[in-house]
Amino acid sequence: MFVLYDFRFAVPLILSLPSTVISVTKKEPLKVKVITVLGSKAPALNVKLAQALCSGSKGSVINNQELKFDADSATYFLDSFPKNFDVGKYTFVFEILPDELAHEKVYITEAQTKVPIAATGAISIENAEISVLDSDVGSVESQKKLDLTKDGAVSLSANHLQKLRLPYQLTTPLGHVFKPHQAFIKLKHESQVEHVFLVKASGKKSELVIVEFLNVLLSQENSLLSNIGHIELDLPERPEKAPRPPLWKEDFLGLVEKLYYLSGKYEIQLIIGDASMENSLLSNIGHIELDLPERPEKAPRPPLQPTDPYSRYGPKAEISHIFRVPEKLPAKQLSLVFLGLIVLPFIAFLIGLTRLGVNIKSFPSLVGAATSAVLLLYVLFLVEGKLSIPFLILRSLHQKI
Amino acid sequence: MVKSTSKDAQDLFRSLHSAYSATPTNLKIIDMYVVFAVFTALIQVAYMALVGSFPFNSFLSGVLSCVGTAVLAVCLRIQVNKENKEFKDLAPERAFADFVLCNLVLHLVIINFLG
Repeated sequence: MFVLYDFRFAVPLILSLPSTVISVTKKEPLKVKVITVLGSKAPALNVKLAQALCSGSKGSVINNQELKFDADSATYFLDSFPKNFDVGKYTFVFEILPDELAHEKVYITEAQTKVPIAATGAISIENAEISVLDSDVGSVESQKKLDLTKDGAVSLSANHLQKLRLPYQLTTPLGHVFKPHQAFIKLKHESQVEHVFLVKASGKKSELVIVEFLNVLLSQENSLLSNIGHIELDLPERPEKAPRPPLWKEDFLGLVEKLYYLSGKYEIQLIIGDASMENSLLSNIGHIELDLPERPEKAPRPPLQPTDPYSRYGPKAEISHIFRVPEKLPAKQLSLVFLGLIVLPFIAFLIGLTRLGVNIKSFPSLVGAATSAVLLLYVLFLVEGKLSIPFLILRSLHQKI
Repeated sequence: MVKSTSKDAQDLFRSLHSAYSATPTNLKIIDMYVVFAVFTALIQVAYMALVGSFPFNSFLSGVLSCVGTAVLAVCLRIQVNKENKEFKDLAPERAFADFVLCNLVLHLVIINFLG
């Protein structure tokens, strides 16, 4: 028989976190709530943070840390983190054990509950500078310190033979190296043409890495204190016949072309962002006047910046077309035959002239020259389509004088 | 009757030929030029009959240039001919200059109309 009052089942307990983001800077406690699956209160439990595995490293930062219970809010919390708990992505492994043995059969939990946690913090940016170097010699032409928290009013100038260098240091609250997910430099021309340069972190040694499609260098030097990130922009001369450089070599011949040979004032913006960074920044560093060589004939023009982004959905230019079957033209060979036939009477005329013994030598030169000039003008008109050719010639001559 | 007519034709032709060869050389040149112009016009008309008159203005301008220049040549011939009493005082060079000028104007119109 089916006995209802004897029906026993284990109540699952659910562990949940109101917030899976811990701020290392603000030092907020980690809060954990445990409730039954139907929403009622859980009994007295022993919630333990068994491990805190960082995504980068192998070992666990926190081991077997018991969480304290706050009876008012019925949450368990952990308010002290070890000193090596840095920003980044972690996986926290929780273990729940009921306090009373009798509850062990009544309540059931997962053996280990794994929760992804993001630890964020305020990243400090220090020692930011911007400098213009001569590429061949390496000497510094102008150098300025930057305060990236404020909008700077740096004003520099460079030509295509120089390099732009922007070193900066990013350190976590604990003083470690920090490599952000997103680090860009944006150069915006006054005509609204923008260029974004990606700054990619390389390995530990001082390697020069060319990034993506725009030849930007990032050199990361591993110093004892912290990493320094550089961004070097080398703007070389316009090449005569240089081929497109492959992306992995240190070859900068395409950079001036990428900038569309636009000289003028460029706004520099530095953009650094990361999920673990509480103070991601977009800082207007200032302006740089770039002096690039003249655009050659076949260089690509900058793309037209739309004044209204929806203007391309507007009406287009009107097409004028007459629907008509094109007229039948005679075959090409027939036309050529006709041309030959036409020439024949002229030849016959000349032959007749010679047969009559015409005196061709005493041709009056001035009259003949004038006539032939006018006829030449007519022929030019046929070819070009404008009868004002002598006027154009005269005008060009006049301008040269 | 046939024999006589053919003989007459031959006689006529021969007399014409002999009379014509007496004409001065410059008139003969002009005559040849007229013949050349007319021939060109005829060829153009035949071509148009063959392939159709699609660019009609081209055909017109071509024929007009030939006919126009033939007409101007005839005028020149009239003016230059010494046996013509009306134009006795007109110098032949002046007539030729007129011919050239009118030809130029004609060809200006033609070229514009050719398209």
